[in-house]
Amino acid sequence: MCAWRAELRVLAAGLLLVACGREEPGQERARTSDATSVEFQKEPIQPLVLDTAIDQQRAELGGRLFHDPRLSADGSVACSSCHDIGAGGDDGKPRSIGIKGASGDINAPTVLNAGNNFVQFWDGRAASLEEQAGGPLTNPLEMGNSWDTLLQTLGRDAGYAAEFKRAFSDGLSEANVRTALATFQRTLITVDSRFDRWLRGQREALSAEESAGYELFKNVGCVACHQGRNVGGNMFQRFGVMGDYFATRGEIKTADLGRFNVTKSPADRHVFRVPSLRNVELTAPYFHDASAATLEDAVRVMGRYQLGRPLSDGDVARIVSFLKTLTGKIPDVSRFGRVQAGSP
Amino acid sequence: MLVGAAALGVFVFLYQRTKAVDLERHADTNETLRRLQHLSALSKQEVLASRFNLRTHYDPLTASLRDTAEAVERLDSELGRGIGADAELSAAVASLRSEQQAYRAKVEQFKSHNSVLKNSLHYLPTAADNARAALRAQSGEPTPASIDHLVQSTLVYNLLRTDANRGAQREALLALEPGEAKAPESVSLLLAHARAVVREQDEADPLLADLLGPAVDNRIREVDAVYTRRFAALSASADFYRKVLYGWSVVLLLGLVLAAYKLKRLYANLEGMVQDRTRKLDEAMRELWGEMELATKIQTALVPKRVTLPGCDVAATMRTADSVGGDYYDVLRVRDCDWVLIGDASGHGVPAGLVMMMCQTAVHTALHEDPEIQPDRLLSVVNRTLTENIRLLGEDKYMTMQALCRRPDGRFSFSGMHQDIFIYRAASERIETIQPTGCFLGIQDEIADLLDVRSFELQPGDALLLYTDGITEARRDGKLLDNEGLRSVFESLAVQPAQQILDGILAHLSGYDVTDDVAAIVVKQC
Repeated sequence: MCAWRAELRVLAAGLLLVACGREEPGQERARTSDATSVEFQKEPIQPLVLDTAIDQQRAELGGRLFHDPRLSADGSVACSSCHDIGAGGDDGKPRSIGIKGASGDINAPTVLNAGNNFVQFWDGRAASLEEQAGGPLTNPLEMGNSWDTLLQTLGRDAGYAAEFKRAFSDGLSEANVRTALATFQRTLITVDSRFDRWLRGQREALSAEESAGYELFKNVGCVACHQGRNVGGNMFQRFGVMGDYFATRGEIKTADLGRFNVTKSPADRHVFRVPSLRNVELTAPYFHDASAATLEDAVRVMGRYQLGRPLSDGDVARIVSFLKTLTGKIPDVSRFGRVQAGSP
Repeated sequence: MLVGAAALGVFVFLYQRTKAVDLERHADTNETLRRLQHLSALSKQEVLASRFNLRTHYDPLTASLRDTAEAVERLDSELGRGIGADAELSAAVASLRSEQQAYRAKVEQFKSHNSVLKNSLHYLPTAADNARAALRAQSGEPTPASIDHLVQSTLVYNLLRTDANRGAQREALLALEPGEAKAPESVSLLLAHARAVVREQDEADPLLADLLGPAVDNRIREVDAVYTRRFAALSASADFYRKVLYGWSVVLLLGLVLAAYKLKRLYANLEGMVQDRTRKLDEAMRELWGEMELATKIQTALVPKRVTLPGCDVAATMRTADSVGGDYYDVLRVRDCDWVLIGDASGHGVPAGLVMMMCQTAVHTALHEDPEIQPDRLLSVVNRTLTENIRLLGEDKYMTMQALCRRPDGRFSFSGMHQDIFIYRAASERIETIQPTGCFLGIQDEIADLLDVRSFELQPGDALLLYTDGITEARRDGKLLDNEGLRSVFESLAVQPAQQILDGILAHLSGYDVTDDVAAIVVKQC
């Protein structure tokens, strides 16, 4: 039998499967929430939805922990020091400042909508927010603490001890600290962006230029990687598929190796988790190395090294105007206070 | 009792064995296994849809992989709780977990390659248009057919990935590559995307074939098969124990019926047994009280009915705390000595009464054997007899005793360890106290060296009081009457006749709790 007939049979079988009308989890979730307009359900970007099943007691406790500098070894750095929620979920710096003024080795990603990312960290080494929580806490360049010391610190605070008892049947423990932090971060979903309202049928939510920017975003192939409800965050990709970005930039560091640092597979060199573009206008500088200071710079780099196509200044401007419509409502966390990195 | 406990223990053991199978957990496990199969099919569907642009984003595929990982962990937990530790089942689940993790890694690779493939495929026609336009602008000549050929061969290869089509695409590339360096950038971009389509498709399609394969499904079926076998074995075992439990329950029931019958018969005889025992108890009690009455009569008979001393007014009394007491007094004349004796055996009741009676017998015997005996020698002789007899009784007893001998000249000589001797002196109207010396009787065989003899004389109107500690240890409101209290009462009554003195002391004592035997002698010199 010719091989091409076998290929056609595979294709037909696939089409038949899809035609059986099995429900997609993404579709089901959209339907149970404030539903996407029917004509936009086939769009590569889906609106954000809040998780209504979150334990509010644990989330509140996690919020307190997130903003507490006592989680660091010297009491100067809180999670919010590098992930300032009100400012877009990061710190606006190319490298974050940890305890004793230590400089990190990678651009801090935003915590906004991080609960929707399929893995955590640029190299995807943490499968969940719970797993991720331990990284910065014990990293000597970030918070430099140990779990034993942290639990003793929290245990000496009668308020924390009582809150942990209320939120968890077994009280204060490393697992529960992780769970509280993760639960809080899962509340940081920035719903109701102008683009999400457009997806839900409010056509007046985008201007003509922004709509054109979205069409361009699709046509030039940005949506091949930046898709789904997080507009990214659900796959890995090599940085430089259509051009050698690192050869051009030079000075390769360990952080540039990306997923290779986790799997040690040569095929994973320079592979990173595709970042979410939600609220991207707030999270400059861009890329893991913070090499792009502006959105325009970032779009041009993406066009050259990922899409392998030239983008005119007009195209860049239109795409950037679209990207700015992805900014949603940032949750109010002012009740937890604000800590700057390096403050006592 | 032990047999009953053992029978119950066997029942509990058998019952526990019938509960080895938890049907609710079994249903949960089956549901999880079905869900895993569904998720596996869903993941394949999503991969296929993504490859052929029937899905515009990867969220459903990502969600199905996440749900699968959670379902594997839930399955592991359910199996552990429902079946318990099982090496074969654990190995099967570990194999499933490993296969699922490998599947997930391949899906991530597929997504990466598929995205680039889709991007290049989508851009290829535009890149070709740009290349044609750039070449026309550069040379002014019609664009070579090789560009169209490159686009066509690339798209055909994408549609039908065969060696022949790959060869054709490669030829189209080779036709354009020599001129690439001098051609406009758009030609390089076209070539880059054409290469990317082939490169990425050669990665994505084998991954797709792998992802559509049965590897994960086979692991799920393996877990299902091992679990089903294990569950069937446990069910068979539980059924067996259930049958044994039914049989054992019948045995226990018969045992209970037999026990109930025996209990009923026992209760039927119980009343008769109680009546018989009650009758025997009454007889024993009557016998005991008869002996007690006899002992009381004997002791009462031994106490002097009337006490007299020449030239003196004498009164005496003894009251026992129980039917038989340990206090002792005696007044008797032997030759030319009027003896006045008072004593107190330790404790009270029958044992103390026996000691008292032994003492009295010993005194009388000693006095009759040696009428001239001195008080100290009398006590020494009595002690020897008493000590030996107490030893024979096996009792831990002793006795205090004073022996006074009144000579014809009216002088009293005395010996022995007992209570203080109170003497009312009419001349001074004061109480004189003589503290005794000596030692107790009944503790050691020889006490002669420990005894002395002292003397005193009563003048007319003087009164002598001898007593036992049952009087001074009487309590009122928690306080003892004590020696001082008795001395004070005696002083207030001493001018009266002997009997009235004694009655007055006893009347005062009536307001106290008296828990010991009481004896007292009053001798008033006329």
